[in-house]
Amino acid sequence: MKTLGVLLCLLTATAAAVPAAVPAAAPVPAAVPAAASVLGPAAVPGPASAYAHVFYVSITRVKWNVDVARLDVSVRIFTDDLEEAIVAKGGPRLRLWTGQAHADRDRHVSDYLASRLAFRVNGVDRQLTYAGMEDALDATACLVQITGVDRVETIEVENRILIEMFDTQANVMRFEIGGERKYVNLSKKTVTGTVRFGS
Amino acid sequence: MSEFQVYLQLGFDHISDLNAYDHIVFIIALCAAYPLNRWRSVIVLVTAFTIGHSITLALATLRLVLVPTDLVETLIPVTILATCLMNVWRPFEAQFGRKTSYGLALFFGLIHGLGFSNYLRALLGMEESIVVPLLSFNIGLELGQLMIVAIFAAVAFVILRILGTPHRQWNLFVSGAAAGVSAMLLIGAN
Repeated sequence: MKTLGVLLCLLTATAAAVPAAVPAAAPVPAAVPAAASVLGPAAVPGPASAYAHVFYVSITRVKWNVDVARLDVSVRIFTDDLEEAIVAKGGPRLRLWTGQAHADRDRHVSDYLASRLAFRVNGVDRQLTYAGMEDALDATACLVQITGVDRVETIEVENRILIEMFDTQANVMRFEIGGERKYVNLSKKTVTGTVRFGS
Repeated sequence: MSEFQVYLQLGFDHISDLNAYDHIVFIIALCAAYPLNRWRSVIVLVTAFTIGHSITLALATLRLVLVPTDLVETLIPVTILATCLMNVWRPFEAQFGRKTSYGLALFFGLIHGLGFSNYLRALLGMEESIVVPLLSFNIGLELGQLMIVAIFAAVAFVILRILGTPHRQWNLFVSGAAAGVSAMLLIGAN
């Protein structure tokens, strides 16, 4: 009977905790960074949280903006992983989306992306222009652009994001070019992919 | 590769990733109380868990619920521990009936779904349609879980049928091990 009591306590706690948390956090955007930062780098020293529920994925979207002849690239990376990777390369702890964010954060993020991501459009290597970043809760959306793209036939891409950190990192790439949508799923095993359009 | 294939693979890889063992431990705990001839019940149980999982994953990705990650990370090992205790205390189903145990698996699935949802939402962002990513991710998870069940059943077959170990002993052994792991997760999460 003692076990039953413990069990019931656990179940009650579980049932009570979930709905209670929902209304408190849902409508107030200001509550989100506070909640997210509990697991953030400030709270967890060392390379990773002790918790085992890991999910190593980044999603990169590449969209052709035909009006301005530009490829808009948005790379969503988990903020804690991104910061760890920059520290592992010898950079500072950026503390993104906190009150003490590093002043040079844009340069470090931009350098990291440039070292991990490469595009060749229609057979020509193209420079990435860093265009800022946005807070996406647990993730950061890093924005880069490739200008002067007035047609897209092939895109060869090399994506090494976070593979130096995690063996199971998956880097999903989604291309949206003139109504055509294609996907490539890259990882440590396969860091490059080619997509063709308009054929 | 199609969008469906990409997210199916992400779901499958996630569940079978040995680094993300909380899910594997939960599935094993769910199976432990069932003898081999009850495999159908195990499949229903795992599917109920996936359905619960899919519901919160969809709700959270659509931004209809938001639960802080640290709370979820505490609740997940609690569900594993609760499952183990039920296995040991007296196979839950014998006490409360089959439907109750399916319902409980679904409820635990709701909690586990929250664990992914913060992550998946952060990555998917405002993608126009998240129906295909969500659906295929969950189908991938379900397939991965069924694979774990199959591997567990193969081991159980050797232990129970070939070595002739009584099921109750096997259940106690597996549930005890899973309870230990979940206790460590619980300590790690706080």
